[in-house]
Amino acid sequence: MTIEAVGLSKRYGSVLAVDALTFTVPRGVVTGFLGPNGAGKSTAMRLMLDLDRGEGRTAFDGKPLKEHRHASRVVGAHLDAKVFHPQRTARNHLRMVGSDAGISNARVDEVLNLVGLDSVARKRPKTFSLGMSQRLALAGAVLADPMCLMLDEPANGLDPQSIQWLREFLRHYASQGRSVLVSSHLLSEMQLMADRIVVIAKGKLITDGTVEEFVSMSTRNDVLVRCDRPDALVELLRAEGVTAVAEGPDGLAVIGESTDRVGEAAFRAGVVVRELVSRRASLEEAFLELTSDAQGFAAGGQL
Amino acid sequence: MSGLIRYEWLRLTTIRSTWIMLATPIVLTAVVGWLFGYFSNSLDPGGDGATVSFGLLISASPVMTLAAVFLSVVFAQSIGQEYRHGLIRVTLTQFPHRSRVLIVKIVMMGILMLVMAVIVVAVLWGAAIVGIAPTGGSIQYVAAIDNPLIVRALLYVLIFTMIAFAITMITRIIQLGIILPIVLALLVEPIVRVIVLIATMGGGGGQPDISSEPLILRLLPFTSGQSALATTGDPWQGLMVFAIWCALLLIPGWILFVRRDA
Repeated sequence: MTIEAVGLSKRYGSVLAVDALTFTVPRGVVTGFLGPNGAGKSTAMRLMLDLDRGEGRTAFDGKPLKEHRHASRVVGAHLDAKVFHPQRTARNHLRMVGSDAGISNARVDEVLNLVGLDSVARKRPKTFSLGMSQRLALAGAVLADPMCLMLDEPANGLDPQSIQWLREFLRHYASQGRSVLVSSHLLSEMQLMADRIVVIAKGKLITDGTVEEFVSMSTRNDVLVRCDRPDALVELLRAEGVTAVAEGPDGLAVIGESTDRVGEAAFRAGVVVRELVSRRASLEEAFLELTSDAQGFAAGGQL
Repeated sequence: MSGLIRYEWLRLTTIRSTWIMLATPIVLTAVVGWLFGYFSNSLDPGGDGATVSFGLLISASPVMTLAAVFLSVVFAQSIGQEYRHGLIRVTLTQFPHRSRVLIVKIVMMGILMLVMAVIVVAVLWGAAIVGIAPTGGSIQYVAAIDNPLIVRALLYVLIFTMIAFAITMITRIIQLGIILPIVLALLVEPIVRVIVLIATMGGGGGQPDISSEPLILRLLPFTSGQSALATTGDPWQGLMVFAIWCALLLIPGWILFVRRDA
């Protein structure tokens, strides 16, 4: 099942929190949803689920959520960790959440076991840690075995083992032909988890594509060349309109060119090449660079 | 719709506070009913025991209002807890048709309120009989008077609790939904009543003219609601005013529920 969000917009007074956002969450892959704090990710997710009132539309397999007979079989959402009554036991919470799909108690127990909460199933979640609350929220999202998952910062508060488990779980879930949209601030984690990413900043779409496509937009992708006469090489490269920056006593960082082109240029410049290597920006580097002008709430103080 | 009913039922029954709030008015009613029965003998100190009208028990005792206050907590919580704990997003993700969610809530909770009110009336009756029996007295039931009074009492509880629900729906603050009706009923309206009556004291020797109550007093919501428990005057008219107030709060609450962000 594919999720298509078209023209999502939401305004809070004079602030346009989400601005004509259009993207697709295809089936079979994990789609990461990235953006700086205040970029509008959570608002966009709520708009997609029709929880917030705004403009635009979201189709789940071509139809709005309302038109599906059992919405819980279509999408499972985890928008906040602490979404439960503190006095209702974890098991009863899930029994309630499974009402729409007619979920059996056996399935509730199975999911509690899946997320590792079986030992506290009959406990009230008022004493749950953030990590346990995240697990309960995730259990609620996957309970009805929906075709789509929408998770907002599900890794917050999880320990490294749990994050690894979550990554493997989501990849496995997507591999069954389902759509998974997951927002996170853990970019290194997202690089391992997501096949595609949707990046937004100040409510606007920056990119909707594969992680590779996004990273390739970064100027931090360059070719490092070390040679005996870097001055000669940089002169030739600049004459050809190529940006090259000195790096160390004998190195140059050449931006926007392949190793083949830089090697040919070195040959023409008559320099002896000692190292020629292509360097790729990490997702985090690309993200920080491409969203640097769009930090909604950036820390500005000096330590 | 069956999933939504199941959801609402589980939401209601899997919280301990629900049971406490449902049990409390029953216990209080039993105590008050027994006390009224037991001490009613003082109405007939020299006789073999008093005969007390059941209608008097309903209209003179605070039982129905007490029940309404406790039950209004349950009704207000049905929507207030959803916002307080963020569950409304879980609810509306599963059940995106907001009006259906509201209809099921109102119908289910309304039925529960009526059932509870019936239980309260029955407990009042039973406790009063138990209380009065040792004194040699009896509880008199006059169907022509008491049947419509009981119907009005049940509707009074329903409307009172529904007002708490509507206020919670509008404000999204559960405490306001519970407290505001009590403050209005026990504080604001009595003060308004006194002020209006003083203001209307005229040439009649300084006494208020109670034969023709000013219109404003007949339009006060909880004063009107209380008058529905009376056996004199026009109790049905009071109930009608009470119901209109309830509708005036429910309509904007409904619109806001459908239109606002969850």
